[in-house]
Amino acid sequence: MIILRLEAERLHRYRVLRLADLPERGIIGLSGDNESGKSAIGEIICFALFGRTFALAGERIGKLVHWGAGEGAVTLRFRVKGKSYEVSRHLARDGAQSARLIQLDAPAEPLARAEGVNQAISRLVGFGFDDYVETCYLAQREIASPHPHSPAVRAMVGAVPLVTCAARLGEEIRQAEADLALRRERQQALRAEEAQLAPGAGRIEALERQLAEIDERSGRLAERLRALQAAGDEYSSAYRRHRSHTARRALAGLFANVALLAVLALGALWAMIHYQPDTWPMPVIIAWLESLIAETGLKAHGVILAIAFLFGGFLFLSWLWLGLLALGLRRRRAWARRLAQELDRLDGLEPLPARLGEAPGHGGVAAGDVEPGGPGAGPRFDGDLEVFVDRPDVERRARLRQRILLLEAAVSEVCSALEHEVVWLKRDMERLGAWRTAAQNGLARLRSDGQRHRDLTRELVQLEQEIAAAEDWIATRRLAHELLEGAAREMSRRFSGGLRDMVSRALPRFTEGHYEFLEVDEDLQIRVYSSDKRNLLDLDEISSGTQRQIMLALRLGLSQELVARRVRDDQFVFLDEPFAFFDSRRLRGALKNLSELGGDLTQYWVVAQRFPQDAPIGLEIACGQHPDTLTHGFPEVA
Amino acid sequence: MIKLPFSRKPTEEASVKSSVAFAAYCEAERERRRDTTAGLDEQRFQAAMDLALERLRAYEAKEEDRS
Repeated sequence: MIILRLEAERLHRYRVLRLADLPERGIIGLSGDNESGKSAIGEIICFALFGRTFALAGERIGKLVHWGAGEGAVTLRFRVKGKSYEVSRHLARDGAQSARLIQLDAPAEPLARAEGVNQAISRLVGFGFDDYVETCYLAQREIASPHPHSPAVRAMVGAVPLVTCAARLGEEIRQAEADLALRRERQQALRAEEAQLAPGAGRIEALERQLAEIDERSGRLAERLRALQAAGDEYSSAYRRHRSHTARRALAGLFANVALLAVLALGALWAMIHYQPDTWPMPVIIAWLESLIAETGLKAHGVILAIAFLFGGFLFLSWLWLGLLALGLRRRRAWARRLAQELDRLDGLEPLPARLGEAPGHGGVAAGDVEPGGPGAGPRFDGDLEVFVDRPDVERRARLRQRILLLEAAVSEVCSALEHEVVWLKRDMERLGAWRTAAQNGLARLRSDGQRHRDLTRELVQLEQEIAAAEDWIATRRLAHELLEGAAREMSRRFSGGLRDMVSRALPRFTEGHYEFLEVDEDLQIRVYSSDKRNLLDLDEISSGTQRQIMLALRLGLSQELVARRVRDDQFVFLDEPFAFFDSRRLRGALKNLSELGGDLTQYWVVAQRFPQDAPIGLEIACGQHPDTLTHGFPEVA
Repeated sequence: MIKLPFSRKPTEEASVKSSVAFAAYCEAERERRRDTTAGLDEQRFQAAMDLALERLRAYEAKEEDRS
């Protein structure tokens, strides 16, 4: 970009500023005393290009308007790659501005207007304001080392896409790592829960066996209880009947004996009447009998035979009664034996082992399964095979059994003993019920835990897969990030190397041979080799004047790089008092070196208070000759 | 002929795209890593390189659209 013409009205200290016929190569010197408006030209050019100056931006740009005026305007004509353009801006004191960019070949169709002008200029000239002030425009301020991380320098390095992509990847990696940390926390929590829920080998099966045993024992006890109660009822009935058994048997025996005697006597009488009717006292007896039955017409031996049959029948009935009594006795004894057998079976019942009250693997019934003071809270176990100690003692039960077998035990006594046994049985059954509840609860919990454990295992497997995928994802992005940063460093290193070579070639010219070359690292930190001291020195080890010259050389090198990378065309540079405090001899040498730098920087605007007579300047514009007017290449303004 | 400190760069040197420079760097880096004791996970390296290249090309395309 080469400046061809500059026109401004009511801007900065100028009511009128008109510069034309400007040389496109070489040095344009702007000279004059302090406050003569030299730097104002640089600021007006900057404003024309980017709508702001180095110091004034935003609403404050209104301060650029000439004092006493309400608004100002500037038109800058320039050439880029063989085409001429003109940018015009109007500025009000309140900072409001308008802008237009045209191509001189087609002035009726502006390339951009208003805020679009800045973007259009940046696209056209290849750089924006930040790049401009870092390189081609040296405002009147302390020359400092260009910041290696400034957008301009990074853009020049060409590493901006790499750094930007690396930064985005870094952000993605940070986000993914945060997510991964959350997943790992979740994994740890799940593992801890899984360890707590880990089922012991066969615990469910053991508990199921235990529950089955409890059910079997409970069923056995219930069966015994029912049988005992039935046997008790039968015994009671048998005992009550047995009390009248002796009397009934005696009566039946008596009847049988009487009937037997009667039958025998009547049989003998009939035989005597039938076979020995004449033998004494038979005739008397026959006469007596016939007198008794004379009116009936029956015969005596027939009547006796009938009576004998009658007693025979009675005898038969008595014997039948006796037989029935014997059968009843046998049945009652069978009932008594049954009760005794039931009692024997109770004795044969195994005591409840304490292990049934223990949940497998937990060392006991889980807390809460049996209510304190509830059915299961009765007598305690003292050991695994300990027996409950509240049963009737064995001797008492043996004696009772013997008396029961003999049907001698009273119903009240038997009922009392049976009630005791029933209480004992029921308590065992309640205890078994409590254990069953505990076992069922434990089993339900184990099954629930097992289900939860399976769910946890499934979730853990899925989580581990996700973590592995995330780790793989992160590892790939870390490597990509590393490669991008490595490439950016490599580009910085190459850029620094190229810059170093370029600036080192210019350095001796600017330092009159005192310093020969620079070391510029990838962060643009500079060390300079002193020919006098034969050593590499840090910048703070050399004089401020030389520092300024080195920084100027570096800035020009950066400008050259910027133009070479972005514009690839002739470029102007505006240097506001770069050689302040130089004596005329050194200033002359510096200007000569400047004009001989070569490369793409062709038009140098250099501000200085005075230029030596024989300085290699293409055009010197003396500022301050008129208070608020400066014209070159135009007719003088009155 | 006196060599001037600054010189114009050839157009092709000045206009190397970041993605091209990155691809060249990656190839050199791949070779370098192959020679290290840690070795090189070719698959991951290629995946990382492809990912970064994809991002870079997208960035460059976006920048070209903007300009």
